[in-house]
Amino acid sequence: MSNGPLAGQDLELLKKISMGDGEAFRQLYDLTHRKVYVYLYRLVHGKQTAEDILMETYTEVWRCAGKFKGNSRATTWIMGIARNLAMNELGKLRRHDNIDNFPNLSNGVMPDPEPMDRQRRLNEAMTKIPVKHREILDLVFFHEMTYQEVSEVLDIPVNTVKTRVFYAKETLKNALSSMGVKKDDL
Amino acid sequence: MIYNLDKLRELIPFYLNNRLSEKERKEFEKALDQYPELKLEFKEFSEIKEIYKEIEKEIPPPSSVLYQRVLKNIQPQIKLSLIPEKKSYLEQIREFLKWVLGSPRVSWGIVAVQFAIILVLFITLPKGDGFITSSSREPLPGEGIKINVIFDKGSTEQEIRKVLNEVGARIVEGPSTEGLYIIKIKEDQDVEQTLKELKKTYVVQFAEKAY
Repeated sequence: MSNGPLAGQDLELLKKISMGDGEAFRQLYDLTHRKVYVYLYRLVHGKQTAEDILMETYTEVWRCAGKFKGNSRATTWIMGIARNLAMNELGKLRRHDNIDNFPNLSNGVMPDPEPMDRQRRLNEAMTKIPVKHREILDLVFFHEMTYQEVSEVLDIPVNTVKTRVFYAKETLKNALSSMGVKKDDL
Repeated sequence: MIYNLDKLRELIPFYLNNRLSEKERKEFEKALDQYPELKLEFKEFSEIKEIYKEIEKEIPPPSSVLYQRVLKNIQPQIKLSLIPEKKSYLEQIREFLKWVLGSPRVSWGIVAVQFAIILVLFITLPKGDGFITSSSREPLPGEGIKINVIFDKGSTEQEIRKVLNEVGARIVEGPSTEGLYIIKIKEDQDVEQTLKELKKTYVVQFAEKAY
C-alpha cells in the first residue's frame, strides 16, 4: 500500500510557522484548508459553523505549530485539531444529544413517497447515520486516509478504526432499509 | 492461493481509493473471484465510494474572506513575531554611523552635496571683495565721508531732504530693513560738526560715522 504525501515537507513548513513565518502559514493554509473545510462541513452540516471552526482551527495551528512532530501529514494533524473543536462545538450546540446514538428511523421517519434516485437515497441515508459512522466513512472514502491516519485524527486505535468502518457500512445499510430501500433497489 | 479473508476485507477501501500497489491490486482482484462474501462486501463499499464522488459538488465553497478572518485572529501574534526586538537609541546611532562610515556611496554622496552647496553659494551670494559691519554696509571708497543715519519714522521726505541740504549731505544707500541710510558728506567737511547738526534735528534719530 502506498504511503501519503511527504510528512517531511509538512514538518519543515510547520517549523517555519512556529518561528512566526506568515508566508509559510499562508502556504499551509492554501494547501490544506479546502480539505479541512469539507471535513468540517460534513461533520457540522453548516457553512457558517464550519467556517467558524475552520478559523479557530488555523488559529490553533498557528499557536501550536511547534508541537507538530512530523509523524503524519500536516492535513491529518490539522484535521485532528479541527475535529476536537468541532466536537466541542457540537456539544455546545446540543445538536445531537449523543453523537454516537443511532437515530430511531423505523419509528419516526417515514419512507419518502416520491421515487428517489440511487444517489439521493444513499445521500439521505448518510445524513441519518450517527456522526461517528458518517465521519469514519468520510475519512476513509472521501479523504482517502489510511487506517493509521484515521486513528490519528479520531484518536482511537487502528483496530477500532478497521472494525468501525465495517460497522459504519452496516449502519448505512440499516438506514437504507429503514427508509424502505432494499439493497437490490439501489 | 489461500487468502486471509479479514485482511482482504481491510484492503477494500484502499483498492477503491487506488492506493494499492500493482501486485496487491492483482492479488485482490483474484481474491474477489475466489470469495463471494468478499465480492458482496466490495460491492457495498463501492456504492458508498460512489456517493462521495457527488458529495464534494454539493458542498458550498468556503468564503473567500475566510483567510482574512483567520489572519485577523492571529494578526497580533504575527506582528509580534515580525517586529524585531527594539534596539536602544545608542545602538541605533552606532549602527547608523557604522553604516555611514562603511559605505563608499554615502561618502561620495556627502562630497557631492558639499560641492553643490559651494556652487549654490558661489552663484547666489553678492559679489564683492569687502565685508559688512553693523556700522557700514559698504566698503569705504577713498572720496567722501559716510555717515549712518536713521530718520524718525514720522518725518516726511521733504523734511529729510531739507536736513540733508543744510548739512551738505546726500543719501548713497538705504534704507535697510532696520531703516538705516548711508549719507555722504565731502572729505573736507567737519564730521563731528555735521553729526552734531544732524542729531539736533528732530528728523534724525541716530547718526554716527560709518567705518
